[in-house]
Amino acid sequence: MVAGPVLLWTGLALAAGCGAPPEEPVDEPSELLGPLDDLARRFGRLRRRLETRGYGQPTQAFRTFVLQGEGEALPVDLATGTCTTWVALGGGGLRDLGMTVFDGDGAEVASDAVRGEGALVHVCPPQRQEDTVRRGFTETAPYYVELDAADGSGAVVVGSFVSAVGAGEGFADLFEGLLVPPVPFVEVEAALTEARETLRERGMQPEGEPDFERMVAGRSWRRPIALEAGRCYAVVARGGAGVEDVDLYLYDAVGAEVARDLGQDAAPRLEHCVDEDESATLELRVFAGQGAVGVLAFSAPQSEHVEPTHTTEENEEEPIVVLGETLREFEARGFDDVLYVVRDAAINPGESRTHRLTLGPGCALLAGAGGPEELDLDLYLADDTETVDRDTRVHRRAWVAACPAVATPYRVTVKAYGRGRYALARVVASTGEGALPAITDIARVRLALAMDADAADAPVETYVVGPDEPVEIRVPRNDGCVDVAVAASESVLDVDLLLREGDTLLASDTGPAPWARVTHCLSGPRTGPLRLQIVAYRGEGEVVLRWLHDQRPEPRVPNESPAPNLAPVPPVAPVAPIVPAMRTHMAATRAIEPQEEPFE
Amino acid sequence: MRSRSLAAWALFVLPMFGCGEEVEAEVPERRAAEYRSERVDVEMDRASEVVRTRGFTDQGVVWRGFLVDRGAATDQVSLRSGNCYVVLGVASSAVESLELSLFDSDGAAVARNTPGTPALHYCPPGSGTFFVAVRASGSGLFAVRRFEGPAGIDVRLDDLAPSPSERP
Repeated sequence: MVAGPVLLWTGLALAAGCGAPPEEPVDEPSELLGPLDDLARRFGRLRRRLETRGYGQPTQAFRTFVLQGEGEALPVDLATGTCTTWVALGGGGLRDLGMTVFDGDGAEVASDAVRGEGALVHVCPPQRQEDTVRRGFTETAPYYVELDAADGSGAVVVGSFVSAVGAGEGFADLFEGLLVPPVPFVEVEAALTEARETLRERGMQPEGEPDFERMVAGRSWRRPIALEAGRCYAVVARGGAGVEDVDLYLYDAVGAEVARDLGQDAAPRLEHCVDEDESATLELRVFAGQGAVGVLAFSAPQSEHVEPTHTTEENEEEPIVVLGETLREFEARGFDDVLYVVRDAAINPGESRTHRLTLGPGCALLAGAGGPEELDLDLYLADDTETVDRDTRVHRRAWVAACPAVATPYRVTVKAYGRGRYALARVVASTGEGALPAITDIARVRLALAMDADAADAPVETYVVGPDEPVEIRVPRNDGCVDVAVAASESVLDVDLLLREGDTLLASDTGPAPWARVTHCLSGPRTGPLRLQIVAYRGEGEVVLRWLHDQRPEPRVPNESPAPNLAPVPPVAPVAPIVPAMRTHMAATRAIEPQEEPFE
Repeated sequence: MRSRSLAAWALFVLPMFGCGEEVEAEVPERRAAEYRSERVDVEMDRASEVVRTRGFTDQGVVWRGFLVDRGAATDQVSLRSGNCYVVLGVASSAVESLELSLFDSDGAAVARNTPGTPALHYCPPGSGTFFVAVRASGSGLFAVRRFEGPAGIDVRLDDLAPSPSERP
């Protein structure tokens, strides 16, 4: 602070304000006090408490702003022979506000002892004996009040109260309920330490010390972070008790978002590698809850950067491994020419990632796999106008397909329910030149994937189904096992299969997929005719059906008498389809909600 | 410090003064906004006397103020070539150390006091505007006085610091 400007302002104040001190208390927010916000209201409560305790009305109050690590010193001339109580309340991100009073020789005479963003000092300048004999003169003594933002930055409302020496009931619990409760950072610190150990195993070193903040829902906190070329960075944040959802964002020098973690938890993590030096900004937002949060950045040279390992699930298969298994099974069904679109990428809960590629002419299939195992991966395939296929089953594996007549650009969107990683690849359907029959339309693609590889050359039956027109097929030879698959064309979004014996439901596949498969082995003597129902749950159109074991339905003649006894078919063990099935519509309700559609 | 805050504080200070009907009243000896401390002045006078004995004379008024811990302030001065200058700084007891620096008109640092020495010495190669900066470790009052003297002589400054018992 320099003397000149302050002298000027003080002079102006003297010129404009000579007269009696203001007698009215500070009831309404004045221009100096600022808006009637939470800080002003808290100060109003503090003012009333001081009045009640006998410290009079505030002679003045005003608002200022302090930055962390910095302070302001204000010259004040205090009347001798009385006492002055200075109080201050901080708002915003101010967590620790200090106040110190120095006398006219710069010696410290009083210091604030209030914790947190409140401050109070009480000084009683002594009256010198010779002053008392002077007449017509109000004796004052120079003092300096220093405000210090020890932790955090924010607005501060300051007020003073003048009282007689010895007056007042004291200041015990004066700030009770007016200050934000202290938030322990111990829990957050411990969580960050745990994360630090995990990342150290990957060769990453902490970038400085962790930062801690006390935050409430809706608040965000930004800090700059310098990124060095050729290094990979990981930023982890942890929320303490009461913090339910914390999100992390990383912005580049021009403010574009380059990484984020929007997971619905209080332990976000993002990673970002840079090829050039960057001045980035890290933002932490509390979406739900309130309490302590901490954040710490790590880095490692790109050459030493090791992808995360599942320390708690050491046997967990990586997505690329799971996808490889799937592709091998697809190959046995007539799909080959593998092209990996994504080999390994991180994905966060609820996040959608879109990839563009060209498919056709002919049928092509995009398969994805996520990890860890509990991650639910969904795929959406869209051309320029609409979504042409989707796989929203609750599973870590998913696939979508298209059969364009000419080469057509598509967008495939990957959406995850859970935090993890994923891999994505494209395969092309057989054109019939090899041993397997040609796969020429979507229904046959789906059917090929819903059956066993060794049934790929079995004959296909075609039916037309509608919402109110289920197809019912009689299963004639039913002393052994029934294994049948059905797949729908593009116009049928969900097809179900139900196997009944009389009125008894023996087995069904009612999953939210345009294909279905039922496998059932009879455990006892047959009590009635076996019937297979094909139901179009959503949409209408053509479906194809293939019996996967040596069973053929009799002609579709309603009310036909039971078929004659046939030699029993040896039971077969249930087979695992490539794509999981046997889930109910209820279980998949979330996945087929309209708002889950990423393109809408 | 922002002007708004200063205005607020100035208005805040106002009710404490005794201005009013007693127009014949004596003016108080010291105002806080003058940043004048008897103890600091005593030490400034003592050290100034030593500088004067070395051929230097006072330049202008004493620059005073209050620095918060780790705070800084600057003052613009005019220096002439052919002369040398001593900038002497004194602070109150709560200031643990006072750093003095001199910058040219472009902002380049041209002189700085050595730790433990309350003054710097500089002989400008050309006349112009310079900036004196003070930075404190600890909070308190400070006073800075500038002296002008002849070029070509060495000036001892390390004996200007007061003994611990003499600190303001």
